[in-house]
Amino acid sequence: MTTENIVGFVELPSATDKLHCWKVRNGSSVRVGETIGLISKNANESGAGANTSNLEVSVVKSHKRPKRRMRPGDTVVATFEVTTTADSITTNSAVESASASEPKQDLCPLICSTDGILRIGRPPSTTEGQNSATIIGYIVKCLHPTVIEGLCAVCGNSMELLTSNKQAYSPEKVDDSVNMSRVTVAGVTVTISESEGQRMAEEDAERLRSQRKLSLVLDLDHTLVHATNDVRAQQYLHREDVRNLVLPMITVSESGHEQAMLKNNFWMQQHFVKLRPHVKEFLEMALALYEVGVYTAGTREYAEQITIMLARHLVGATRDQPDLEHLRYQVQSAESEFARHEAKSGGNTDQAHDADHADEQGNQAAETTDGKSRKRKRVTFTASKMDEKTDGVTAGKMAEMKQELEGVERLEAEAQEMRQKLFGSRVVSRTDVGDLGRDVKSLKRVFPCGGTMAVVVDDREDVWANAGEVAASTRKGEPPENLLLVRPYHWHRFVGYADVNNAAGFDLTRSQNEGDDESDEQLLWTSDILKRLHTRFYAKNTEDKDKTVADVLRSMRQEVLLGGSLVLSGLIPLHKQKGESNGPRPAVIRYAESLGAKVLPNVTSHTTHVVAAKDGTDKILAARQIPGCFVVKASWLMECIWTLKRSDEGKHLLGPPPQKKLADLPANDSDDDDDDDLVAELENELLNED
Amino acid sequence: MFYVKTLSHEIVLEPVHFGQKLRATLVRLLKEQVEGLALANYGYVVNVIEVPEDQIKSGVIEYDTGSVIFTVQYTALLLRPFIHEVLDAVVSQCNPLGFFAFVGPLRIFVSKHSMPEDMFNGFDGEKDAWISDDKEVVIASGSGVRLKIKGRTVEQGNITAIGTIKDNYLGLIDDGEAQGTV
Repeated sequence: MTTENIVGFVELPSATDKLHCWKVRNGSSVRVGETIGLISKNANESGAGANTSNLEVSVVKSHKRPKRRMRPGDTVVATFEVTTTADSITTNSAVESASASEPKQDLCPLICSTDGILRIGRPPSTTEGQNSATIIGYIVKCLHPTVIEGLCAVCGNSMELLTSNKQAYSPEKVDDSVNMSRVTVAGVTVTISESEGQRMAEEDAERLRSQRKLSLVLDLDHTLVHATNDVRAQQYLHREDVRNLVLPMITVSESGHEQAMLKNNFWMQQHFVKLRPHVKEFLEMALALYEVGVYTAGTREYAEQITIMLARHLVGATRDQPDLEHLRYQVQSAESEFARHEAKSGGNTDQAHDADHADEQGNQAAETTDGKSRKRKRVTFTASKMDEKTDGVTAGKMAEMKQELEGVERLEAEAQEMRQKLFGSRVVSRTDVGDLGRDVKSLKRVFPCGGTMAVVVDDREDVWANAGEVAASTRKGEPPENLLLVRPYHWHRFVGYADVNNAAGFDLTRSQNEGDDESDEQLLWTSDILKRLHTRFYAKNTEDKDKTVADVLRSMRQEVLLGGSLVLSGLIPLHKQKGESNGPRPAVIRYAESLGAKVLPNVTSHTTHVVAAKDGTDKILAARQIPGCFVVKASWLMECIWTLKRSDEGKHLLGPPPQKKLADLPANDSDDDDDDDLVAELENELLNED
Repeated sequence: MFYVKTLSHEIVLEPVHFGQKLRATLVRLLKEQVEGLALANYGYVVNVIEVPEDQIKSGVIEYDTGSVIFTVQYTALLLRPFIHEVLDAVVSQCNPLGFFAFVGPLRIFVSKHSMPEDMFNGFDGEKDAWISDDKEVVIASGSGVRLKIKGRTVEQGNITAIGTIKDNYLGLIDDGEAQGTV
């Protein structure tokens, strides 16, 4: 505990008084004028000495112990008598003496003199002028560890915080220059002090280390799924990896705020979600090695729905929310149909009436439990079924349907559990951090003290770079180093459909369509990177607490293209080529440099790669003269970033492969690349034959 | 907690409502507009008890729109958290920083610093619950707790209060669900 600021003392009015009891526990916050204890003026033994805390009050008005409604009062007693303060005396003896004391005594209240936190016991160092015999406690300043909606969560005083929008994600100053920062935990945004943030970070770090895990923050859109609300997508629902869910439609009103429309059925919109290939393996790997969380640009409901959908995918449940409720409704109406059928055949009109009633109630119940299904589906059923022949619903069919429902419900329960295990309450959505704005994601909100053990997987970097705060090693305007970029995922069948939430990141290889994208292996690549990262992090002794995920990632990246010397052609517009040393580097340069390669403006004999947008430029021509120098497309560099491995240049060649390295290479004036190669091959043959 | 007070409210009545049922419409509109509202310093209006008929004075016509403004006095039942008040609340959500509990529409936050020392480190991430050291007290969503209000604020039409369960006789009083009594 840091040294505390003592702002006041708790003193007995005179030396002959004895404290009868405390009204407030040690560590509770107190206010000016609050009664914090009772003093007995008489000198007789009234049970407690000056240092007692936690007496059972039997005098005057005694609160009744809150009795648990479920269990008898014994266990409650145990709870309340446990104290951990150093000065306390356990209460058994105190209880006896208190009940033995005289009921009528001269008691007067002990009034608190200042706001703060009460500490019972002698203050650590008394100044000389004080009479320490009468001081039985002291009051320290509240450190305001957590502030919610402008109130300190401990002392209840309202804080005056600077809440201008621009500073929403920068530390805010409260009096005494204690730094406060905002944090989003389990869907609520509160403000916590720096020391509290540090404590949280330490707790997290300890927990992670003990489980040998790291933290993983995932983006949803275009990283794990591709979602659209375009109706044309309905045709793909039969596929196993395409799911649907119903969400309230969002409109932007004039004030710019987003409001979900009323939960009136008409405003619900159906969304279709395609899961990225290999998402199941990815999540299973992540579950074992990482504590997974989600940070999405979608709304809270969207985030919740998608996480459950992912959990369902993991357990193998295929029915999503609308289907599930449809099934439930079907079974219910079938049940009531069946009951009515039985009743009719039994000839008891009362029963039939009841069955009708039950059906109606079932109707209502189904409607209220599910606020999300479409209204259209509901209306027709009862009407048509009444008229149809009822012998279709036999006992056998009933049993079948019930079994199916049971199976589905069980899977659903499993999925819910899986979701809790996988994500817990670590889901951050746009609605939670509304004050940050639409295009900003801030790691500080989730990890107030740096996130040294966290990795982020996202298809967009700019949203992370837009956050105001930067770590020490990051240049301004660049994304943090523990961000793992992935290729934005677009399902080719959904191309051209409306995008939900944010658009995808910038993809340099957009033009190249890889045909059927079941071959999209990004998640396997990322899963491999994460495994390597995890092994590396925990490889050496974990006593090395200074190692952060960013460091490990940086060293991993630097190894990929070590020794490489790159020249870029046709990728950076002229006006950006004069790099400022303080500003953000153009993305391509940043990628190349983070991978350990050097970026040179011109081709030299040491150049190993030329990364170009199109063929035929001067730089490329110069490069072809150099043996062993690869001329590759930008997709090569991107693939290196996405896999954190040196990709095979052969798959990304722009034009013919480079000349093989030979002792002497004849200088060639011809522009025809093919000729060059032919000559080179001939030379090779000749040389080899020698 | 609850108290009764006479308040006044301005209702803008459009000409379409003029006629026989003017007063009835006024009362209905008043109830619609005011019930459930959180008024600063007064608290939540739980119910409009009475609108004394003789108190509805004549309204003033607005020149621009043609609507009439009535100033209606009414007695309302209000719910307001008072500092140092002890309330029974139902826990709605637990998170690593504390838990949220509700007393009707009133939201109360109890931070981990305001919990007894044996619960300070007791957040269980798997079950989303606060558990004491001796495992006797489990505060999870749906449990009933007795807490003391330490501070309050009105923001965005909602009242949020800060509570504590650190003092004696405060804390869990009902585990499990569906009290419905608060």
